Amino acid sequence: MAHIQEGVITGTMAAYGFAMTGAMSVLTGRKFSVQNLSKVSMVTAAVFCASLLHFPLLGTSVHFTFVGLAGILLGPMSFLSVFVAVFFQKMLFQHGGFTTLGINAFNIGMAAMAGYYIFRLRFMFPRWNHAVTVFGVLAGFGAAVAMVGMLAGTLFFIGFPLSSVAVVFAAHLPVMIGEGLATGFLAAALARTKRENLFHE
Amino acid sequence: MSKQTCFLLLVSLLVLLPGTHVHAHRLILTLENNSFTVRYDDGTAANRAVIRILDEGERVLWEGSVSEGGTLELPVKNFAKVIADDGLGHRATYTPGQKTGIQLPRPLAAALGLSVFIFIASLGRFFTEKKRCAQKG
Repeated sequence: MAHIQEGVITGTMAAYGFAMTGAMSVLTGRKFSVQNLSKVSMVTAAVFCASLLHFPLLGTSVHFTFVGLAGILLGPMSFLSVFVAVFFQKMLFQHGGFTTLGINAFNIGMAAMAGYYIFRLRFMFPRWNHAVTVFGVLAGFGAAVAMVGMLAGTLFFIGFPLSSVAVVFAAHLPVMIGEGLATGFLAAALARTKRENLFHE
Repeated sequence: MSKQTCFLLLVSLLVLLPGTHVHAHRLILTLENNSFTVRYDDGTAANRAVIRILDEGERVLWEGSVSEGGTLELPVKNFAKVIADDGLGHRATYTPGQKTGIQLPRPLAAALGLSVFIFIASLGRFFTEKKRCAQKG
């Protein structure tokens, strides 16, 4: 439930969300080129469909996002990719709302960026054979933690009680672990077969 | 289509296939036989939800929680709007007489979205190859 729905946030916060998303899109979009279009589109498709993988937990419904995966494959371009995926999720699945599109894209996009920066830490261990796998797991897990943290922070900022924030974290723990394992597995598989698909390789 | 595109397409399909059976989450509020039902769109009862019944001036007429099954017997006869909120960022609104918009079935919506992304990916591939050929030639 990374998407905040219509009517939950104030107009001011919605405006801030759009401003921050716009600024980040411009900053991260500089890396984008036609050569990357195929890869970005397919990763966006994966992020777009990931929200269909969900399950009920603690009285709410949680779903996967694979933002960490987007981060390790696209690097800074993952923000733009997530923005497009969130827009399509709103249009076709009615996830989130139009006024919350900015804040949702910002929360999820920044999580993808977090995944990218965590995955970059593997370069600190150039001789470690399992660095890609371990930092892939950490990137997926860390990105999910960042995403839930951004969501919980937003909810807390607009006046939701701490108990709600705690439930959001508790409910997403299986998602965080699942995203970590899936991202690590894919990173390891790509490192063996198509290493150039990992960003910065 | 390159190996890279094939691989990413496969990942997308793997994500999509189970999704067609489970559907995605969204809070839905319905009124049937004088009883409100609040659930996520996978059918899970939203038992955390709080319902607020408002009059035309947006004043709260009644506020309370739903049952474990996500249901609530209609406590007020005349109202203008009902809001269900699960306290975690999910919210649904019910307005008497207002029709809900037409929504595509989930698998169709997912297929439509995927088609758009695959089309864009193909365009990207086409222009990249064209540029590569021009550079060689």
